[in-house]
Amino acid sequence: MSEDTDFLAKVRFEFLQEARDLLDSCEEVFLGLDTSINRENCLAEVFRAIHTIKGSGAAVGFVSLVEFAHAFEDCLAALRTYPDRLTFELTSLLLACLDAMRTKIQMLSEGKDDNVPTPELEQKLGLARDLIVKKAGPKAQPVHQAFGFFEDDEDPAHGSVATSTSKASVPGPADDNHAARRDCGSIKVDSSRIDSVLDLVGELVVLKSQLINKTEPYVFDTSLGAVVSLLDKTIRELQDKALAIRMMPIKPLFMKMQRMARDLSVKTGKAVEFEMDGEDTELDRMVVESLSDPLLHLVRNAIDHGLENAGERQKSGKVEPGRIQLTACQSSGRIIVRITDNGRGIRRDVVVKKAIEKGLVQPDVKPENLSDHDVFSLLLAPGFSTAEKVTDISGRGVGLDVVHSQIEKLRGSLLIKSEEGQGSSFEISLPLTASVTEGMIVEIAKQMVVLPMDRIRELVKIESHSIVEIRAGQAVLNVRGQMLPMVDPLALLSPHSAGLHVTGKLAVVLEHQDRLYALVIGSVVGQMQVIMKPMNAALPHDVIAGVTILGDGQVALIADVEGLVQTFLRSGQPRTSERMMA
Amino acid sequence: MMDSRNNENRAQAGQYLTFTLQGQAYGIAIATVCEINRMTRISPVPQVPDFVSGVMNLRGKVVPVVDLGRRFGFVAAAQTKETCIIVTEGSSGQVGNIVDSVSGVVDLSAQQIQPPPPIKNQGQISFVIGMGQTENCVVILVNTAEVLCQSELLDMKDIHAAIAAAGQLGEVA
Repeated sequence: MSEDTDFLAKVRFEFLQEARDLLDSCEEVFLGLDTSINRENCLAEVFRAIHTIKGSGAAVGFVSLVEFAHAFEDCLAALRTYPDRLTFELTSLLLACLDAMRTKIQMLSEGKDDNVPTPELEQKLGLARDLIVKKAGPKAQPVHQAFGFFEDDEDPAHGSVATSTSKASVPGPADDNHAARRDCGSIKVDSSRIDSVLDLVGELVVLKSQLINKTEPYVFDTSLGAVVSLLDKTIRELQDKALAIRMMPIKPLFMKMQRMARDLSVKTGKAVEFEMDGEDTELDRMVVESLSDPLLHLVRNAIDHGLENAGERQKSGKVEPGRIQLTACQSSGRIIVRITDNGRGIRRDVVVKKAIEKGLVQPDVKPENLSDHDVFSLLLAPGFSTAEKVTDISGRGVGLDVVHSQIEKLRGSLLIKSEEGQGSSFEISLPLTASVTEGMIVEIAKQMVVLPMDRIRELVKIESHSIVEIRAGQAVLNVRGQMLPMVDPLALLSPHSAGLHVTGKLAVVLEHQDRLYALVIGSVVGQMQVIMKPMNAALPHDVIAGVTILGDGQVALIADVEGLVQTFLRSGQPRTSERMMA
Repeated sequence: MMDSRNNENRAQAGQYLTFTLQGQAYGIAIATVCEINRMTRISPVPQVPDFVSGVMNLRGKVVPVVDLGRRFGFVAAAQTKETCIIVTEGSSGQVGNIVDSVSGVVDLSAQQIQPPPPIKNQGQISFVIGMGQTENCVVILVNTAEVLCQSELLDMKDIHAAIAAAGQLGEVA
């Protein structure tokens, strides 16, 4: 008995997973429908997917899901017969149904009943189907006998249509497509398994470098040397390949954006032409996932505030629809994701005015004296704008600081370009993977600390006269006339080293949110690519981004520059208020 | 047989790995032990309670290390050749526990296990799950699953005192 329920649970789980994949593939096809010349094949593909869900869903006993799938399928069947009847509104309805299916499946997989009330959608589907079929008239030549495959279905269009001629819509080419996609042969693997393989590969790299050190005295043994160098090369390649397993194309993310652009276009009544390029660019899975929110935000901004409405566009002599471009490419070891719109652009004067109101710049600053970079950086300042008011005038600035900090968490940067009246572009630059980072290994009070390379501006020698003590415990470092606050390196050390005094002749200049800070270090040990591992969750880690294992097997901490600066600023605050009170 | 309260947090009969801290024998259930390693290099970590020595490299995995002596409220013992790290699997993954020395494995029957002694602050010692009586000594049975959690501060000295007072143990070395 319990074996039976176990079996059912397993089969259901597999079904839900399959259904989810099918819906994902549907969505991609659907979005192509608006323009696709090959509409019939697309419809055939969606039909097949929904049909499969219906069939297997019935087999595992999901009644409500099956009923809905049935209504969906009916409508699709009618559409397949008359593909030219597909309208924009219909596509929207079908997409809404797709979402409803997804919700149902999500609920089922959470173990809840799938009894989401969808009578409205089902009714609409029915109406749509009737409409499609009725419009057909007697002259129509539907093609559904060509699909002998599905003959068991009670196709509502069947009764109303007498003859059928097979034409281009025979599913031959679509089938080929399908087969080709299957051929790629992919398997689903739990990501924790991949991580454990990566851990072991990392360990292998460490052992390899130890072995190379140990074999150094035997340089004259050429056969040993040959084996060791071969091992070195093989492990290097293994590491590259292992890291590549975690990579995935950015395409699913772009598809999500396209879908949202479409929804927003309906909602705002602005016609939007969405273009994608470079969607095959590969990124670390983790980066793709955490890029979703900032990207959604930017695309929403671009459509909602960037693009003008039809009337406004006409007035400024621009073509309708407005264009949103999403591109991704790899350039010099980084991934560049760019969102471009040809909307109204950012009004510099409004931004500067707002910044003056907020006290972010001096009131006497003239917009024309500021560089583009300065002006657009203001948009990213924390608290620049959370109010809708600004959006109404300038069209920009909502929560961009949040987007910026999310991107910075990924060790990326955000570059804004805009031409008033011509449009804006937001360029996100990201490291290739979240797990491999270029780091500088430094020694602070006998401890090894890795500083992320992309945050280091320079290394400076400390002269005794270049430190200016403001008051006890707070000092600035004079670097060529620029006064940099000195961050306490003790924040990076363990409680056991409390009381240690860090005395060094070197300081690293770190950049965080366009400001520079100086960190005193003991010495520089080296520079290397490190594989970042997360810190154990039970240990608090404000100032640590992760840990890594160095070539000699030692564990080193990777400093989180953002956390370090935040901690520094926090610790500075009470003192400031004390002074103000005094 | 035993008092009814909180039976799951009571030591069960079975095999226990024994080790010493400050000369006193302790035992942990063998099922929670992953491996025992020699003392290795430990990298200190900021912002942690002082009983956390840092993190170590366990064949590519980065594992936090707790100084069990400090965790139990003793002053840190000098490191010797006997010093070991017992890696256990706890609620927050693997954790290394530094102990003065590892003694061996004892097999304790239910009759040999007694409930922990009553001491002044009962809440503090949920770590102690029982007292094992072997032929020649008393083993304090501990559960290290929550060893990293900061909420509990421990002072084993109280327990040592309680044991001594009850006359079960004689002299605590």
